[in-house]
Amino acid sequence: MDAQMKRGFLDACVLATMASKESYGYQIIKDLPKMLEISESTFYPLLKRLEAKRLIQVRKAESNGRLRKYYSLTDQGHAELAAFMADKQEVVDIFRFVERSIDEAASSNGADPSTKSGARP
Amino acid sequence: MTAEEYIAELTRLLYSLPEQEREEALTFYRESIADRMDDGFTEEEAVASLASPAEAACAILSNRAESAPEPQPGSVAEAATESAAARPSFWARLKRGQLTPLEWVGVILSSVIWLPLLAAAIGVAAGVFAVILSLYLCVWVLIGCVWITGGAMVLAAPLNCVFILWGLQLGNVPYALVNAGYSLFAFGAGAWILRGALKLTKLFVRGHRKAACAMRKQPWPPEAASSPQQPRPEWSTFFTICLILLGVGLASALAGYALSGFDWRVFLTSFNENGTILIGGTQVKLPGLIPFDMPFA
Repeated sequence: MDAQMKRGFLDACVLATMASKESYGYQIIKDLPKMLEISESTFYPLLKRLEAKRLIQVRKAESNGRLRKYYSLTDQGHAELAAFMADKQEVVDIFRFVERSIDEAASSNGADPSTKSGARP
Repeated sequence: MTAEEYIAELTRLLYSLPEQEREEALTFYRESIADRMDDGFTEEEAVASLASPAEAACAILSNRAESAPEPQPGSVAEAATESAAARPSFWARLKRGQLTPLEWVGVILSSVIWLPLLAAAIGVAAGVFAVILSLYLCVWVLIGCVWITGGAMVLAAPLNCVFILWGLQLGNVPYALVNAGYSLFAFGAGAWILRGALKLTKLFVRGHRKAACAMRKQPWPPEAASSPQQPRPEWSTFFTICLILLGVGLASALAGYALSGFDWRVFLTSFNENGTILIGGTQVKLPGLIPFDMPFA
């Protein structure tokens, strides 16, 4: 997926992985959709950013004899996810618009191929 | 690469971060490696599946720079469009030499103003540098003075004992007491001053190393957790004794002064050019009365 687009969706997907219950770094990475292909190097700054925006909160707990950081959504985080979903229709409309434009171009080219070649000297 | 090597490399690359922030990132990466190993990866595989330390450090440092100054939350979709529209600032493009022709003309025409300003700024910077350098030298000279003062006091203490003997030979007990006080006080206080000088020197040298490390972008402390050296118990006993000597010396000098009926001359010792010496107000001939060779005449 295009990097710019991915970035917009990534925040929402990461938030979504902790929507139902708290989770930890490696688990979140495993839960994320495969097409986002995220590595720790992008993931860590992203978590820090979400934390700075107070969308997620961190708790330290012991697991397998060592400390692990568990992340969960704050109320603001839940609200952010809801806002993301509220935009869904608009995003779908945008895809529809692009799709329709491509289809129209294809059909008009197919119907009258002479226009293009005829314009050429 | 082992996990330890990975973390060490990342530590080195994140040197410029505040300690707490760096430690947080390192903890995250340690946890990532450990979680993968719990999931059945070998240590090698776990490390290999992460981005290289350089990439990781780059992501942390660059994201830090852009996320720090904007605390207000914006929606996810907004963030994506915002960054697409962003254009590098004038200064960023100037650095890379990517200005528009019009901007170049502006830069050249306005050089009448900014060149003298730049020259002035360089002059001021040089001045500040010179002041800092001279302050730095001053600090060393001051530390040297502290060493010399402490050393001189400790050395003078035993030499001054000669005057106690001379005072006793003359039967001037208050004078002897006062000089015993001088000796004890000088030794006790001198030892403490030397201790302070050592501490100051260490502090300053430590500052040097820290600055040198910062310039070479190496982590501080250089050796793993350079543990603060505990002073040895013998030394702390020694310095306690010195403190007591200092107090006893003061008391002794005061006692001598009181015993003389508060005659200020008990504090005086002076050598005269005609071979006499003034001891607590009594002028005596040097060789006749005193069996000791003058150590310093």
